[in-house]
Amino acid sequence: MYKKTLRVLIVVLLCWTALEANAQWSLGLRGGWTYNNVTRSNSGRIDETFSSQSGFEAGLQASYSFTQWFALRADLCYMQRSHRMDRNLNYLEPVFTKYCNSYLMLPVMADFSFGGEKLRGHALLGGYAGYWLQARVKGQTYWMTDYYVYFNDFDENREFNKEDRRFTAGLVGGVGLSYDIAAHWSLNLDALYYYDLVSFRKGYEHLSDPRYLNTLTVNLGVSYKF
Amino acid sequence: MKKYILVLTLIALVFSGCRKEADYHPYIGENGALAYDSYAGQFEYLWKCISTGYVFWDVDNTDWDAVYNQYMPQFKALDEKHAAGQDVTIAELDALYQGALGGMTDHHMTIVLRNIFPSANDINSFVIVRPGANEVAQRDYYIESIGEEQINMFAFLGNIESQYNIAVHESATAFVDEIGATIIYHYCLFTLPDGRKIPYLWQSAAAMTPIMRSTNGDKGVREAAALIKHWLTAIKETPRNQLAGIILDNRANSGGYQDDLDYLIGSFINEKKEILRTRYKEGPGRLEHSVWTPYYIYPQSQYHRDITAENIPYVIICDINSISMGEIEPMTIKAVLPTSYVIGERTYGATGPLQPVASINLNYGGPFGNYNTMNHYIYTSTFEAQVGGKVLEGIGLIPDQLMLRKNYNGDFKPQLDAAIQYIQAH
Repeated sequence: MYKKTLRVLIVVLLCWTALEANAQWSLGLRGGWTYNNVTRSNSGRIDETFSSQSGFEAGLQASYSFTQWFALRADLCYMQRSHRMDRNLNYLEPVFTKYCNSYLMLPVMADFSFGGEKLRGHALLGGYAGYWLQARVKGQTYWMTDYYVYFNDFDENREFNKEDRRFTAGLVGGVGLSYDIAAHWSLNLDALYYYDLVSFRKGYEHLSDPRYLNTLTVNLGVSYKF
Repeated sequence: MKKYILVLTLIALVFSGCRKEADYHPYIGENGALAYDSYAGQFEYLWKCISTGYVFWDVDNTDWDAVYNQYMPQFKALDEKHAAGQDVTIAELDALYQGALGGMTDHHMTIVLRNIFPSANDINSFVIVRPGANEVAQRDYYIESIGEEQINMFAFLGNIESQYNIAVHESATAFVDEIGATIIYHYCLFTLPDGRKIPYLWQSAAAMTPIMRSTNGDKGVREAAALIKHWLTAIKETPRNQLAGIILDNRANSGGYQDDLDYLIGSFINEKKEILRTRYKEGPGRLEHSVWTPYYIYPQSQYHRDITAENIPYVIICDINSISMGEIEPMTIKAVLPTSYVIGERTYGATGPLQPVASINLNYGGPFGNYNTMNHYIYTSTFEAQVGGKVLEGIGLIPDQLMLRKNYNGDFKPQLDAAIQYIQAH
């Protein structure tokens, strides 16, 4: 048993050593645009229309190249994942709410690259965990008496409550380009799609209402290879 | 390449399957989905509608999931009883629904349900659950229902001239088409021993606005409008050295129009004031609320008098049967006008604004259903808080000077005496 384990360890070590020949760390900064929407069953809810909202993200990016064509990449970023809800039966059109959500996201992806020495394409696939940092709501609400309707704009933080699930996780994938602009420096452009597998609402014992976020991001970054 | 696409597609399908589907959430404004053909189905439908459309969940201690777990098996048992050819009576339904819904916080709430398989033994064919009335009847100072109190109040006011020195006494009975109800007003101009006056108004409901706006009302409406104008004019025009104070008597006031605050507050302020905040449901989650929406009152010029600058006492009398606007009026007057003072009993506690059925599409809440065509009707309100966030739903306003009536059929005089004494002392 011990011999078998030892043999496996030796093989792994040899492979690792071979990979180490191409190993390279890189660290970078990135930022860009986000476009988020909500996936939600409309089961019985005939009156709601959710629409996408744009935002931005910014963060750090680290990758470790095992070979010329394969690396592991991890990002840590602040990401806006916002959406808007209108009432499609609403007869007072100005009434709406934008849900401006901020997340801390940690995607870890396999990075398969191809192409030339300087300009390379990347295919990225992995998973992520995230934490809902802040919820802000903007929009217009109303007050109605028997004779008047008043409208009020609002833009304020929303307190989290026990129906909110602040932890999230899911799948992420996308494509990218990198271009070496100097010996250690490269520019990166990538488009990633985040697909939540965890609902941001908890639901109840006899009435569940899962809702999932999907976010497309387009980022420009710069990284330094050690 | 095709192989990779196939694999990726399979992976995508597998992971998209990791997302769960929602349970059916009835939209309370969606009439077409209201069909049910069993007692359990009726309860399930109402349970879901209230789960999604009730706005008080964060101040209501009812464990709604526990209600489902406790009562659903009992409604299923009724279905089994019916299937076995036995009658299910209104009394049986009433016992279950009173237990399930009778303790909720919304004091406007009224649930009316029809027995979908009427029993020949039933005298009535419907169940009525009124959580607010249930709670109020348990209070140790509960004496009579609002209907009983109004009758007693009519008698007291009808005989008031024998008990006080009154320069003017008018009464009016107006049928207000907009709410389909008869409203009664009494205006008295009290004369104090030193000759100063107190304009006094009692109103059985808050319906000044439709009465004052009416252009084609009957004789009663015109008389009521004239009476209200006399009260407001007396406040506006009586010289300060002859005006001791103002009394608004909201005892046994069943509520009505928010717009009345334009007269009762707007006439006495110089600048826009935030007086209340409300919020609506914004989604089916129990805690999915809109933001707090402020409600402002603007100065009104027609009967304007700056009673704060002139330090004129404004006393409001209220009691356990001051309901809805009947209690929102003293709450907001007290919050905005520094010379105001509230005397009487802790009020009913139905403080949420009522919205018309048509506004369901805006606020997810408010009344829904139709007793005649759908076997159920649920009357519920939106949520209101005072400026500063204090919520009085289910609690009511506690007066500055707590003074309880002790006897059925009368006992209105001590509270009125206290109001006059407060004014004399200030």
